[in-house]
Amino acid sequence: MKITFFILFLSFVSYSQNSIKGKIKNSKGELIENVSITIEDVKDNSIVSFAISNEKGEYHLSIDDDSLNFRMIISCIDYQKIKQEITNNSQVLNFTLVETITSLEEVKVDIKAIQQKGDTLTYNISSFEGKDDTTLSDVLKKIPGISVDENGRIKYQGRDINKFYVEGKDLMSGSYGTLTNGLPKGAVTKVQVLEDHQPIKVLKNSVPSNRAAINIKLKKTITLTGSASVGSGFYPFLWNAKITPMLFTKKYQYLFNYKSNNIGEDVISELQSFSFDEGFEGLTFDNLTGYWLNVAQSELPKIESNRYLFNKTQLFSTNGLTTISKNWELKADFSFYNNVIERNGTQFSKIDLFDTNGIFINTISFSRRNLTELENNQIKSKIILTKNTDKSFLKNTIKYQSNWNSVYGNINSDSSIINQNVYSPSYSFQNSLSAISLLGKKIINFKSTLNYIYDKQFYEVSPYSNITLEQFPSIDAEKIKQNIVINTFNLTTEASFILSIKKVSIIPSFGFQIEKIKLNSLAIGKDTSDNTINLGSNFENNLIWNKSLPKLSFAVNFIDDSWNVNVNSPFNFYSLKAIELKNDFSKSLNKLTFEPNFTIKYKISTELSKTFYGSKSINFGTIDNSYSSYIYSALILTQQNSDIQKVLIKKIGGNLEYKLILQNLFINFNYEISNNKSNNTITQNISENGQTIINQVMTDNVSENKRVGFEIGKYIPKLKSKITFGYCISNLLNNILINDSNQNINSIQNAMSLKLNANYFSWLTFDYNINYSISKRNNVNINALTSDLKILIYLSDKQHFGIFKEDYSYEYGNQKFKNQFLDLSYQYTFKKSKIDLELKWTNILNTKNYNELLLNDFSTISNTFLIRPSQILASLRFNFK
Amino acid sequence: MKNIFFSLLFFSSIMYSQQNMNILFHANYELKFKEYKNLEKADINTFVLLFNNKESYFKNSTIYVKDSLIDSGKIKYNDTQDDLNINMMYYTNFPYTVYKKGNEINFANELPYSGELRYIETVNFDWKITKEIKKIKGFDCIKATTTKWGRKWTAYFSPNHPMPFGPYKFHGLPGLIFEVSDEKNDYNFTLYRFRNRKKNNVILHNYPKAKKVTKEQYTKSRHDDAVHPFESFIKDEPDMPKKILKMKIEKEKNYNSIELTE
Repeated sequence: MKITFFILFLSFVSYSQNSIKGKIKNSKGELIENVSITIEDVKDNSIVSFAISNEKGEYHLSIDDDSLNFRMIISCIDYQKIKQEITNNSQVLNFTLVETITSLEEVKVDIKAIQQKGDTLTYNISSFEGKDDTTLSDVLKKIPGISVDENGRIKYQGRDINKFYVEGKDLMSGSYGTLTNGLPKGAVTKVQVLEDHQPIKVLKNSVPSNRAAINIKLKKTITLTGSASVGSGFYPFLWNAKITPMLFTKKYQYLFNYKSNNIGEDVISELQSFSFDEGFEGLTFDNLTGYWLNVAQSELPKIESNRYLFNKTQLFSTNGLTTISKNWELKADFSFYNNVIERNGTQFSKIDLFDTNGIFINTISFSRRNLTELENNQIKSKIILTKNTDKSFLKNTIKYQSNWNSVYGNINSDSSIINQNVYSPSYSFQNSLSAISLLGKKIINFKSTLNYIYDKQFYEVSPYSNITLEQFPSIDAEKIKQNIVINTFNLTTEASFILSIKKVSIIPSFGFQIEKIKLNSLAIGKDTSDNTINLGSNFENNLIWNKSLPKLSFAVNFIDDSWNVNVNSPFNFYSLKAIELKNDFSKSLNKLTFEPNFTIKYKISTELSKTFYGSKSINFGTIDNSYSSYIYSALILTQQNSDIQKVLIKKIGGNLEYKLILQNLFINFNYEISNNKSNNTITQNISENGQTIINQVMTDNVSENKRVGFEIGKYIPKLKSKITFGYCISNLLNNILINDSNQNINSIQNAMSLKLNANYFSWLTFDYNINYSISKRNNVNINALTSDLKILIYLSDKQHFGIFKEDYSYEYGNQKFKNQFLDLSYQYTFKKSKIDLELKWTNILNTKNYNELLLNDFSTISNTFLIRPSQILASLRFNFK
Repeated sequence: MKNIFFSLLFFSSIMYSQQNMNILFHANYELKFKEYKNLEKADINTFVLLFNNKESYFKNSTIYVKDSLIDSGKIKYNDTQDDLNINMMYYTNFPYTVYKKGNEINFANELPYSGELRYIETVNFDWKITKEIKKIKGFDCIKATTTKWGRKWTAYFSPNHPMPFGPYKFHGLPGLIFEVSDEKNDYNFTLYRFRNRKKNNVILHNYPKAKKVTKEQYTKSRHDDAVHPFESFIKDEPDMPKKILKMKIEKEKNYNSIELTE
């Protein structure tokens, strides 16, 4: 009995179940639901019991445990947590919670560095950026498959991109260098690569494109950003100012750009257009003017121009885009620059001549010390109106360009001095229209480009006594004055139809091209008292050039998931005529040609794709190589009075792209063979001092070009490093007539490069590029080894230190040239104001000259060029928020 | 009278169709499941769980994305050919929504043959909390177990996220459920993302036009549609070809609903 009672008692103790209940409200007295109430074991924090409050704020829980003490926790979002020690008793506990703003710890998704969706590759900027990166181009350089040069030009898989968008809008219309170099990386969240991008929406499913585009995704919808820097230094007094504000909204995009420096930075090349459009957007191009008359000068060194560029540059440009309505977009661009450059180089040229059996005849060699001063000015403006919808496309571009350049050249050749001056004013106007619309299932494209160029040039050479060309009569002149005026008018129109039948589209088109050029040139002598001395009719051209070209072509495109085929077969009827008004020189040519080309891209899998292309085309002569009398330029007299030139060009090539997204591996293999056959050959008569006479003779001339190359790029996420290896071999076979003997040229070039970029350490980034090339022409061999190293060391998150080293060495026989450059930089970031202070000491070794060896078509050149002296520059750089 | 009734109905349906919810938190779950036992590989669907301190809403990500795109005007929905493409693009075999407020669960689904159906029920779980802790996505989660719908469930909840919500109809733990799966791993929900919402107001798109039925009626329709062998017209044919019948039997045998029993 006692025992039973005892057991009962014992069981009562061990199974004592206590219940706790109560109400929970907030400070306003409102009852709160969904509050978690947990009872924890004080020893191991394990949950013994729990309850959730109901809509009336009530909770009820029971404790099945015989511990004496517990911890009670009351937690609810938006209220402060309550922790309270309680005893193991049945009790009523009411709580009043205090409001607070809670933000809970988030669970982040592992964001992959690269994501692929269809033809779009999305790169997350944060996965690639390095510590020293400030602009978009800095980050782009680290992305596998993408390369960016110093002008901001982007290549994807080794090929130019066709569009550069910011939030899907093409503000810069090709001249995107300013943007890539000026957009702070902080404004960017993602970089998208749109593979096989067709920018015209109507053509998306009917006309393939094998170029990629880049789209930049910004962090905010309204972004006012940009960058600015001001710098100054010595010796001599140096300045560098850059200011590039930009604004991006859904409706407007603006970019302003002002740059000025004398530190050797080439900011003008940023203005050039890098984009590639496939023809449907209408034909627009920069008119090249002022190329007929030049001063003779040294070859530019094959190194970065900031080493040798003695400049004073002012540049202003602005780009604006506005969305007029849902489908219409208006863009206006304007740019102006003034660029003063000084160059100082000495060039030694050697030409070995051989007979047809390869037996050495003689050597022509001459050296020239060239001092050149240039002043280039340009105004360019462009207005583009675009409509791009699924049903129609329209683009009209109006372009105006004006250039005025002057060049002074001083040549010191074997102690005889020659002075040259060139002045070239020119302007040009262009209107280009392209319209595409849908007519049922057919797409109609109309294109028209009107182009007018006025190009004027003056060339003056003195003293006459140092001009040794025998074609000049022996007169008592002091100098030679050559002038030339060219008026060019050109109209191209084309209409094409695009018929799409499922995956095939057929594009028949017909068009017409008219070109009318008037060339007037005259060379005269001037005596000491500036009286004109006539040189005779051999130095006067009054030429009318007419070209009319009706064409009919038939293109077939086929696209499906794996094939992308493009075959184009145009018939052209050329009618060319060159008539000299003052003598009986008259050449004409009428010919019907068939010039087919094709591109086939086969996507074997998402990783592997193959491209194969080929073309046959004929290049007919232009006014540049059909005129009866001599034109004098760069100490060279040229006359091109044989038949109108006809060059048959055959080309085949291909590439293989292999990309493993998950492995971050990119491989690109490419090759090309081309064969050119011309009906006439250029002959050069080079005299002992390098002054030359160029003529044409009617002999066939064949040249052949072959090239094979590959590139492997790998990004190693664990090491945060990118490694790229490239190799290319090319061969050129050619014939040149020099001093009446035929020269068979056979040149082979081997080039290999290795690029390493490492961001593994948080305190150090490392970039190393090394290139080795072996150039061989017949029996001449030149080896070149170049390397550049860039190390950045982060002393703290505020300051870093940079070491830059460049090495260039050349070897030819026992002649060796070595050039070394060393630069140091130090940067301090003011965290609060986000201003970077940079100190840069360039050319510490104070290398005076750069020496290199070059193989040209037929000459071997040793080139010595004056280098900018050791200089120190301090600059402040900041981004607009 | 009839008119008033209809206009009221119409009015209420509009009101309902624009039911909004003020969302504070957003969780994403991945569901690995075998709707039929004979499937070799589990299917994967993703879901969103939207909630504030009073109510939670669970919906398939695909439908959620589609609805958000429609709401923001990025895709238009106007009964044309394109709609078919949109539907194809955003198709999912689990388009259901689970709305929970208080003790009540409002479940709606669009079935392939039976159309849009809705039922309301009260579900209680008898959770047993263990001492076991597992780290999920960097958070210490406590293991809890229960038995429901003919399955033994194991859930992991995070006491650092003190909300009694979870995927599907799961709820009632003193923390957000990060993972819940049954013993055979036929259904496994795992949280892969959790964030504080910036854009708070969301239109629910909770099948406002769905026909209200009892849970039993729904379960039957769901079962019929799930084991339905082919297009609906075959239903009425008197001598269904043997193959199709076999298919139906096969499906019947393997049908593996998340809720095996009541």
